[in-house]
Amino acid sequence: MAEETIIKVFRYDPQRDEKPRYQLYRIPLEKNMSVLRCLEYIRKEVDGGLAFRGICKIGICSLCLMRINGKIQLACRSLVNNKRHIKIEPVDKHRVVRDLVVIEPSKDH
Amino acid sequence: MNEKEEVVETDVLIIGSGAAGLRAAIEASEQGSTVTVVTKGILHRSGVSFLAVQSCCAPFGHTDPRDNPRAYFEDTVKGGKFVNNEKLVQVMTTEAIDRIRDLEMYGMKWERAHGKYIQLKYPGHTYARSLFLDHQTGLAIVNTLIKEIRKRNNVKGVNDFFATNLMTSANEEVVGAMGIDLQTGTFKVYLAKSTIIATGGAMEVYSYTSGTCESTGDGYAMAYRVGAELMDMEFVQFIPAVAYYPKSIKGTSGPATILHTLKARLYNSKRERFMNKYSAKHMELDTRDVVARAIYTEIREGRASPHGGVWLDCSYLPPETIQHVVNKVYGGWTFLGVNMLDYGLDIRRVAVEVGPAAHYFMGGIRVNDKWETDIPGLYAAGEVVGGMHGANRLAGNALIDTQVSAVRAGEHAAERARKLTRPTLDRKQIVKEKERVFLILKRKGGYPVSKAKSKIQNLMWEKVGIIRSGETLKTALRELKKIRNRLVPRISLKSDSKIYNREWVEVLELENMLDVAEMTTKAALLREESRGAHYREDIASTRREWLKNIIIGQKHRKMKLIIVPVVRAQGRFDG
Repeated sequence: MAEETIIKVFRYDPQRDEKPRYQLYRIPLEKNMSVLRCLEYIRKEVDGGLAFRGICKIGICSLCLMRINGKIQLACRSLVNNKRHIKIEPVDKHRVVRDLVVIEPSKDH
Repeated sequence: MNEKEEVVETDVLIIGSGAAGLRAAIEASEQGSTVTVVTKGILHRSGVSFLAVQSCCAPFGHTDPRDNPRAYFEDTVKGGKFVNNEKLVQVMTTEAIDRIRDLEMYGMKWERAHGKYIQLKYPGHTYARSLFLDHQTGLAIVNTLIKEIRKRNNVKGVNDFFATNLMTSANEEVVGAMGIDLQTGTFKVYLAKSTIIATGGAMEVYSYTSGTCESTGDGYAMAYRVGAELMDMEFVQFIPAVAYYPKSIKGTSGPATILHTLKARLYNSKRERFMNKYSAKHMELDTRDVVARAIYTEIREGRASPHGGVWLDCSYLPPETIQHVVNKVYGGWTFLGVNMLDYGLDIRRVAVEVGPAAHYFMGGIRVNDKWETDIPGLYAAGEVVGGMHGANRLAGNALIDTQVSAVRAGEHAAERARKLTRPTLDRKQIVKEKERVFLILKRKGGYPVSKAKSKIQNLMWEKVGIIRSGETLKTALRELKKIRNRLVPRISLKSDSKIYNREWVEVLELENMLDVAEMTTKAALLREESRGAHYREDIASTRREWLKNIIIGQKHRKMKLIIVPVVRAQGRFDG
């Protein structure tokens, strides 16, 4: 198993950035690590400014739906395993609030 | 900072969108009010309701015809160790049946057989009275409620709004709430005739929780700050086992369910089946509190597994037996959302690292039988309310409580709204709150909020958790004061952007968590006995003179605790 993985994350803060950019993070690998856990690690240990959703870890809230290596999937259900490079982007770049957070349909009249 | 904030008017404002918040919205809407539900997350995926596996109690007596509301009342009060607010229990046990029928009317399909509900018997309940749906009862309830809400034109739902404080009028009535629209970072005011808090518990003040990171006790803290009373904050329920490793699934329940489904055994790092020492008769299947304390003791005394838990092992069973149960009970290797094989947890070969976790706050905002607080205009529903469950909550009583309390709160909030004219805004309060909230963005101390949060969580876990004592509680109070006075002012954010700034929210949540931590610690120190979920190793006995409740309020900006008699229902049985 690789000792670390390199995660390339879509970053965009409409208040600060003219256009989106990608940021690289090196993550020490844990056994059976999910992509959501990688993002939590970044937020807790490296960059508290990273924005993403996802609260349940077990595929129920579905709020961590993202584009992972081009494929739309839940970050909590997607495992790093032996992947050395992972690219993470928002599920829909037209709905971005910030970074990986997109607007979710609410209930307005 | 000086830009004018948006003001939205509504008859009834509901803060929180779990099962209680959503049901309260339906009720107030039914009564003709315009309703706004705000949530710091996403409407029906916020809080912890949607994670509830099973079950939801109501004394239908379908599976066991002997059941009735009176028996249900007695079980609930007995489980609560006789310090429940019995008036609330009376309402829950008599109205539970109607609330289940409401859910059915909104489209929920409870498990049935031959036209009758299937009801399961859980510990502490004399009869089988738990209704359920698959292993996702909570999820089915919130999905049903949101569907009903979407049909109603007088209900508005707002995602990503973090309420930072309630707003009061000149005559000290609650007239809504203020906070941040997280998507834009702008300050927003909801002016309301009635406000219902439905923000759930504060399990996040502990290192290990079975819930989500959203349970930071915002409602307790907001209510406290406008002078509302809280009660029973010393009573926090811990469940014996959640997953501790892999970290990706820390706090989830699925892997730990093999404790019951496969009668798995618990071992410490020395491979001792330690339950022998604590409960030779019932072993791993003793009640939640006994098993949680046993596991915690093993961990505390240095016999923990590599990631701080203990081993849960069913490999004494033949692999084909395990496979058979896995197929039958879980329908495959995904246990409550956790794919065991993906996470290296092939329980035919390996043991799982598990340990206890904070699960539910019995304590909360003090209400009357209209679920109205002592501050006019302020109501509460669901877990954020104190008194219903006394010193310990029975399984299956949380979900039904959300429904019963929400209907009462929604009905009376709407009734009040009908009688009132438009409340007036107090500009000064808004300016002051805006200043408090926006100053956080400018702080320059360099201390990360995540570290401060971990400090509180570790402290509460070790000193105010499963096993407490006068000593640990006093230490905790001293440390909490230090964190509040020395650490919090040094916290600054990585980014001062206002757009969906999670750290900004975390600082505000942290201040709420500190208020809750102080309440729980002070009440636990004052209660010189052990009762239900509150266990003090220095006073391990339950004492008759403590058939009392501890009320917490604010006087001259200081936290005050008073001891009051338990509210008894008329015609109650004598336990």
